[in-house]
Amino acid sequence: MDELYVIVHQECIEADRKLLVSLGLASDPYDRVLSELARLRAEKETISLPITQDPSLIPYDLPSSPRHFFLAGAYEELCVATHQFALSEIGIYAEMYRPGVASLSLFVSTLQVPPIASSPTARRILSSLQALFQR
Amino acid sequence: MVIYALVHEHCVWNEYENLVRKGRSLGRIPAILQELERIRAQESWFEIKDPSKVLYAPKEQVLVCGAYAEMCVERQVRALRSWGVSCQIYEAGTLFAVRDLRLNLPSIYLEF
Repeated sequence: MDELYVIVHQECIEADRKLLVSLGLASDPYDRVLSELARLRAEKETISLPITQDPSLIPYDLPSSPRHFFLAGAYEELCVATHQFALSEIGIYAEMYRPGVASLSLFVSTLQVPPIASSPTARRILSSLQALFQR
Repeated sequence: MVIYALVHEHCVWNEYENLVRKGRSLGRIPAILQELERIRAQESWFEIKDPSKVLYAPKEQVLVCGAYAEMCVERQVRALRSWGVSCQIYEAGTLFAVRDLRLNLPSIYLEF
């Protein structure tokens, strides 16, 4: 069966990569995901779900023949999972394609890498996350 | 004077439906949805679909709400601030992935 990759909210990965770079942090994990998405676009059949689209909807034409669906993009626990459920509601099982997925854990753990403490923006984001997590 | 920026309100609804379907506690979500409804009815607001873009840079303070706080809402705050707009996250109308949905974070986070 042919593979079809649905890339959800790639803009989030690009935006957060820019944030990491602006903070002087390594963007390697994001670079790897973005490289994989670029490879998918070049070598596989892909469909993109832009950030302006609600991931609980399926705003694209489904293929007429059965496909093996894979999901990629960001963030795994939020919009990608939501889109996975939306597809399951119409009887399509879509598998997470790990090399092309950014997770919330990746986002948080990347922000924690030194020299994070020297960046006011990163400190603000992280301290608010930490306070929320401890409530 | 304040104006509200609504970011991805549909995600709050999605999480509401998801939790109802699973029979799990809704936590703050009904209150958040009620507050968003009040904002739409009684306050000045504008809606943002792409949170990394600034479609409207008002002179008054902007209270950013919607979902998810740590991601798209925060992203809109950063975008607005880069344009010199005074803004902050409005918690009463915002869904937090970590606090409200209790998504797991890596253990290193606890050591930070």
